[in-house]
Amino acid sequence: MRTEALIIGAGPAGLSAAIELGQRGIETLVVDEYPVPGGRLLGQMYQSQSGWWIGRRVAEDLLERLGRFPNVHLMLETSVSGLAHAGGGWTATFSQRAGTVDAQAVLIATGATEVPIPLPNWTLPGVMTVGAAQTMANVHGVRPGERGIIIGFGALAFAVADELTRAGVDLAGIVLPPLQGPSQWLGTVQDQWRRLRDVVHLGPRWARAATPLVASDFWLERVMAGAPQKGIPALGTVLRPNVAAIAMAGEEAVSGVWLQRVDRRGTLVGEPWHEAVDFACLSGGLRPVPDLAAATGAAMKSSRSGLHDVPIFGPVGETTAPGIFAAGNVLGIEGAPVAMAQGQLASIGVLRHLSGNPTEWAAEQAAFSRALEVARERAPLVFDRAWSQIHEEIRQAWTNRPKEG
Amino acid sequence: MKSSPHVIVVGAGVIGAASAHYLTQAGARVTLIDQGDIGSGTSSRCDGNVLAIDKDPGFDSQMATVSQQLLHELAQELPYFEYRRPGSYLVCDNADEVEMAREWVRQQQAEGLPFAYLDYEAIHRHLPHLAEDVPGGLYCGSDSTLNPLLYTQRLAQSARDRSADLRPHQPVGDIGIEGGAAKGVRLASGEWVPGDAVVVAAGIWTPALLEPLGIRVPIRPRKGHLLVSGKGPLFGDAKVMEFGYLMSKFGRERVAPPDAMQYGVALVYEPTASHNFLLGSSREFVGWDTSSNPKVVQSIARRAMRFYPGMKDATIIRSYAGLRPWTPDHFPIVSEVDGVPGLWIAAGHEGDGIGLAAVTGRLIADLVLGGSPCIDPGPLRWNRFTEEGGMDHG
Amino acid sequence: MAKDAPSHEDDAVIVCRCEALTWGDVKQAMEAFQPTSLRQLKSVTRWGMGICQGRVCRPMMAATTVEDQTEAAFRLVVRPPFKPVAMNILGHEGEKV
Ligand SMILES: Cc1cc2nc3c(=O)[nH]c(=O)nc-3n(C[C@H](O)[C@H](O)[C@H](O)COP(=O)(O)OP(=O)(O)OC[C@H]3O[C@@H](n4cnc5c(N)ncnc54)[C@H](O)[C@@H]3O)c2cc1C
Ligand SMILES: Cc1cc2nc3c(=O)[nH]c(=O)nc-3n(C[C@H](O)[C@H](O)[C@H](O)COP(=O)(O)OP(=O)(O)OC[C@H]3O[C@@H](n4cnc5c(N)ncnc54)[C@H](O)[C@@H]3O)c2cc1C
Ligand code: FES
Repeated sequence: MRTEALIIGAGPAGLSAAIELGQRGIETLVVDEYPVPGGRLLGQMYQSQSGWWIGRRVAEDLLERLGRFPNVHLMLETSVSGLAHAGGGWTATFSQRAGTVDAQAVLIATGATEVPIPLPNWTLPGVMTVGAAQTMANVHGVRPGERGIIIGFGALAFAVADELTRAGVDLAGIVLPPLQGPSQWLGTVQDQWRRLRDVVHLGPRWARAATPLVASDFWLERVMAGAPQKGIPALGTVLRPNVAAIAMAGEEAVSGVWLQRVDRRGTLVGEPWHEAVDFACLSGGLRPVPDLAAATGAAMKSSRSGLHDVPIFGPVGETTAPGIFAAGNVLGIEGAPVAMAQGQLASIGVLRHLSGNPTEWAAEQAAFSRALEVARERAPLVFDRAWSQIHEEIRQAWTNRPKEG
Repeated sequence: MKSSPHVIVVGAGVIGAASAHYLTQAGARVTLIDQGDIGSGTSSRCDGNVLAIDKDPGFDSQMATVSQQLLHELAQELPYFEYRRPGSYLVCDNADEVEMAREWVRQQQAEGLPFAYLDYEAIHRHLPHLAEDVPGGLYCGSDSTLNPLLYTQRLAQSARDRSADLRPHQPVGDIGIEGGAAKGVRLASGEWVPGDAVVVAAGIWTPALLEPLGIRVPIRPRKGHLLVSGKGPLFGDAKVMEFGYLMSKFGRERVAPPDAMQYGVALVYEPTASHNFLLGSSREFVGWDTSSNPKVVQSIARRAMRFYPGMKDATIIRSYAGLRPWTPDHFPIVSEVDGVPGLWIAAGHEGDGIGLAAVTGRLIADLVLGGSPCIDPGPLRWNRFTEEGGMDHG
Repeated sequence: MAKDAPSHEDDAVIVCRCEALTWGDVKQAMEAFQPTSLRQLKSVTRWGMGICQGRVCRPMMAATTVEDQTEAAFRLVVRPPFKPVAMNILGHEGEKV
């Protein structure tokens, strides 16, 4: 099969790009490995400054708009397993279907994956990532268990704690991950605590009042280390900033968690104790999966931790591989409105590649760039502070990239 | 040579690592240098078959068999590297191949080697997963298998335990020749490493190191792909290859589908100690690119299903490709460079470097340190190409 | 239900589900092989070589401290297929999707 544009991933980035291409008459194929389009939008449900953000509705809206364009096709339950340069374009192969698709331009909008936290017995049934719990609760309407615990600080952990308690699930709190052994990559206890800065504005009014306090490392450390063991009420549950989960317990499935106090330096102190829970959510962070982009030969930025491996990209999502574009979380972890604007921008890149005219659609580009800025300013969550710095480095790398000819 | 000479080995693939192992065992001081990490070249992009089944009777077969014996000893000596000795099979595609397979077994048996011809009934009893129309095959009892990644590391480790100096991530820039003899190497960092002898075991990169000295080495990269399955049911515990690729030895044309012919694809089925299997392989001269070509991957999958129809539901989780160090006569070069005392080459093992590493390492130690060689080094001399005018490949 | 104190043993922490590899195994391999890159660590432990191909476990590998700190030391190349593919699909002929 042949198409002008192939979009891999039907999340907010891919769908937004597809609408723009559809509108401009481009033969477009969108593939997604999940049975339902929408990507991570499907599980999102939270209150932001501008009211409730209900991801499923946003996805439905995008799909409805997409439905108007007969030149856009959606193929679900189809994973792209390979992408190879062929005859000036790209050939994609799939894992659930035989045959290939040849496309002149490809947009990689495959989003991000979650990283679990390794601790003893984390492979027991009942231990899941926070995203899996979010999907269970918000997409399938299933409670992940009767009483759970959230392990690991981070924007997604806090968002999901909020969503679960609103759904009436009992939580033993949000605790620190183990910070030794194979979890060292999560950083120090201070790194975990600093993540609170990105979410205090979501907390109750008194917590917001504490913003200046948590802004200083000196006070952050004292407040967190000195918090009561049973925790600080927040997000319908308790934040337990000086308690770490050190192991899960259970035979066939999770029946509890072992907890222990940590001091200001993150050292475990005192004796561990056991609390009964029947599920646990691990929040190790989100990671763009770089494999497809890397396979095209696009220049990549790699990171020691592997958490920040992304293609070097330009203003309209172009990579250094001709005809390969990227948008959304595959370029760095941000919220859905940012992904949507990135998808729109990348559609400009695709259009220019197809027409060979590098200056057309300038007004649209300007409008989408503004939308991207606004989405960033209004973002209710910062997933990982490192991204703004990385994106700045990528901007420089893009400007200074070796050009052909 | 001094009682404890300092030997510099350039290249820490399986050949360099084995050389370092045997050299240190014989009492030499060794510096083992690689531009990447240990085993980062072809030795980590290959299968782990240690074969005599496809070797010509005579020197070829003798070299392979000596290596198998040395390897068997290494397996007792070194920590675990997934060494097993299940033997190996060659299976025939058609009646023509059956005829040649019988001839092959007759020749090998005449040399006293543990070969057996298996007729239709026998091959299907031995290999119950084979396609029904496979007419026959043969078995070689001495063939073994190992994990090449671990094997290379274990050899390097053993050398290090005998105080070899391991220098990963240090590209060698030049080989230093003074007064006509090799005196050491200059690293890209500028550092000079002096030595009494230099062994170049740089696989496909060997010509690049030696050509600046006017020493021509006819080694070319010959690409091969492999597929890795997920964990799941195996299709037998022994290695199985197709007889077809030996047909050229008999001056006969191999009969296979066009894609298999185009990419030089012949079945290799290798079950591993990790409860999955590898499928190979292709043979192509397509430059230095090690990326996977989907067309070749597809062709390997098809060829495997021709012999194992039950594989259709098995999953493949990864593919990769490596570059075999090919020579015009398919023998490696294990030899001093004539006219440059102290400069040695141990490279050009094409598709047999894992299997021949033991005998190569041992021979290098014998020759460099002046011991009596474990096999006849004559057929492996570097100057066989200069004499035969075979220098213009590459 | 196991309420005895939890095991702190490194061998109790699985870091690669597909290869049933524990943190203890990794530490042992680090000691034995002294790898100078993640690629080398991967080749001696099979960490990242399972069905996940490092997609999920890659960040955990950063817990190890390979001696060399250059970009080459922590770059891991993943090869297609990027998702497991059945052989009959991989080997299928023709252009039909
Ligand atoms: C677990 C999780 C929870 C999140 N929760 C929130 C939240 O609460 N609030 C928030 O603002 N942001 C959240 N995010 C961030 C979220 O990723 C963005 O909001 C937004 O969904 C990113 O859009 P995207 O289009 O880039 O990717 P996604 O929405 O992730 O969509 C990518 C799509 O690509 C498909 N895909 C991936 N690989 C392939 C392949 N090889 N072949 C075919 N299809 C493929 C996937 O199935 C998926 O549908 C979350 C992210 C994750 C991972
Ligand atoms: C698909 C495939 C399947 C195979 N299957 C088998 C099999 O089943 N059995 C078998 O026996 N063989 C097999 N082989 C062949 C085998 O892999 C090779 O023969 C063997 O690995 C060659 O080893 P080597 O040490 O000579 O080369 P390499 O492993 O490539 O080592 C050479 C080393 O030299 C280093 N180097 C190069 N230049 C420099 C420099 N300037 N400075 C410092 N270091 C340098 C490189 O970094 C490299 O590590 C297979 C090969 C392929 C491709
Ligand atoms: S968890 Fe096994 S390879 Fe990633």
